[in-house]
Amino acid sequence: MRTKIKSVLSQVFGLPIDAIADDASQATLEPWTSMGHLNLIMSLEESFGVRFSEDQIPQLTSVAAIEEALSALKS
Amino acid sequence: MSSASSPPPPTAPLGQDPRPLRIVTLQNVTVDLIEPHLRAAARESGWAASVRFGQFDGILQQASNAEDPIWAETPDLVLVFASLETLAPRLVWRFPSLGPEEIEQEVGRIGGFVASTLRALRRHTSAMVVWHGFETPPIPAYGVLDAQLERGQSRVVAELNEQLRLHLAQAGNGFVVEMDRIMARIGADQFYDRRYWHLARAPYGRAALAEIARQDLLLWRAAQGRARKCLVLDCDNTLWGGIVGEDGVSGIRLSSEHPGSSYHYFQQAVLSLYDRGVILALCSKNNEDDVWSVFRERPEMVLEERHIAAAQINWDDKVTNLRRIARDLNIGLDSLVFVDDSEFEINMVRELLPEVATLHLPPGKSELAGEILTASGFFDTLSVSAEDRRRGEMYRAESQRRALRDAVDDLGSYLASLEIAVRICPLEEATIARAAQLTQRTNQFNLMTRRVGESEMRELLADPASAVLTLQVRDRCGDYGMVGLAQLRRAEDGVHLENFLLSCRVIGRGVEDTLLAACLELARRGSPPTLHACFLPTDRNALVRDFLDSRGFYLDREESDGRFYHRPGAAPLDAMPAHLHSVETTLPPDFP
Repeated sequence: MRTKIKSVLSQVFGLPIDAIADDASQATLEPWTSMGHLNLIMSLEESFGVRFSEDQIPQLTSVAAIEEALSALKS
Repeated sequence: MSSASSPPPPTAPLGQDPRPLRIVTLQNVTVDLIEPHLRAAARESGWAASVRFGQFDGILQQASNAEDPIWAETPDLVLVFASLETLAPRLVWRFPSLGPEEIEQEVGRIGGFVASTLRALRRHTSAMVVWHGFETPPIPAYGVLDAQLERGQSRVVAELNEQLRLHLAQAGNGFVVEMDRIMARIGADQFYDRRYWHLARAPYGRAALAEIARQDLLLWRAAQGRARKCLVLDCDNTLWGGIVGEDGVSGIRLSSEHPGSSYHYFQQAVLSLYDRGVILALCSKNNEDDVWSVFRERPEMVLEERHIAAAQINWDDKVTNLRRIARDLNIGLDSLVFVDDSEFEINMVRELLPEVATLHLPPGKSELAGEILTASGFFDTLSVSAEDRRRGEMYRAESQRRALRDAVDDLGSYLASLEIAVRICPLEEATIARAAQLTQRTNQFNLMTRRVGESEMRELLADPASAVLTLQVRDRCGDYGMVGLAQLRRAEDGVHLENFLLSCRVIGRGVEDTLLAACLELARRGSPPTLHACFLPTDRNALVRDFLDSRGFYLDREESDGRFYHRPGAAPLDAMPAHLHSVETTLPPDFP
């Protein structure tokens, strides 16, 4: 799942997949702006076929947080 | 998110480099999320879009300030997203609190906002403006009562949209994308994503953004004269169910009742396109007699032989046949849309003729075919003229001409036998729409390819420094209507030809020389008596690269954008085509 998350990030932000570390977050990736964040959420929802809640969205600001939220939704 | 109801994306066009398309958006909500969709939709149509987003709630401010960095590069297309939620929150959220006078006030205020924004834009840009229409709340504040009220919420929004349409028409080169229709198509729950509204004042969901971007680009493509012209139809399992060669003329499924009614519906959608001026052709692997027998013997056929301008019904491959159809109709391959139920045929055409647009009708879903065809937008234009409505008739006349040509040995006597009559006269109010359309749709015989909108054409009519000549042609088989145009402007060094074009319908008839002769005659009246002209190459007008050379114009200079010529003394042409039956020329009395 982590690889797929990273691949979505790399697509949305136009970065090579190697540039996205396991501990990547909004603080470490420059293109991850507040608007980029919404783009990312839309793409994640489409790729994984899920829907995050309004309260959840602002918190999904790292690969780890996304992975955790997706695991919870998928299980 | 589901996209089951949306049509398949239009196929990628031309194998050429995409042309740049500079988009500026003005908005009072967050729409930045539309960027990837705009770029994708532009790419589908052959443009490379770059998008500059305006500030949040900065519509009028940025429209008014020509120095704002958003205008640093001249835009081609300005998109306006003016949501009522920001513009008039009380109309949206507190409608029941408003009395009749307050509603009136709000409507007036919003009309004023639209008018001021458009006026401000037109002071510094002539770019195409696409304004996204106001949205009818899917759940009105008065509930079921709303529809009963003389001025319920829905009616007020309809008034606002009508007002918007009028202001855009007045501003010129301004168009609406109806958001309500997009919402109806994809459903309000998909259209709005309230989470993004609360987080970032971004109202639209992903499916809405994709469809809005697609509609924006359909308008842009139509304005660029890139609408397709000819629908090429497969027959078996496209026009009817089953295979006529195996099932027989009486065995195929086609009826106004089930089974076969979905094909009946599809044919009606095809016929609606015909009524809009789309040329119809058949491309089918079949015995020709079988197909025509269906046309003649099955009364349930909506399409008739007279609707079909060209047909290739044989066992050759469809790529070859599509080339033949384009040649027979004298139109480019990039004017064709090919429809087939066979994935094999569609893929082969995509691979080998990327200029041809394709629509694959999904097998077993014939009930969707009509909608897929109409929703594709391939044939969408910004006007439908009387000429368009008569186009089918004209192509019938054309096939009669082909029959004449086959009966006569040499080209000269064929042309003479046509009894071609030419009429040249100045542009009039009544011919403005067709004249503008000609400049937008003509690609091959077009020296300068200047696209002129209706409002600009009207300005030219009023401008004493300009003259526009129109060319009308008819022959013994029928009337071609207005098929040529020359646009002239006086200057200190003589008269400049600013547009010179001829519809592909009359290429090869020698009528262009009569129009050029009329331009020279006008220029001879000027001082100095000189006609300046140029050839500006595009990817489609190689046909006329040597036109001015061959008509004795002197090449002054060759630059990266084109070749510039003049004809001193605006001397008459050396020779005029001898086969024309009559030429009637009326020149504007007071030009230059």
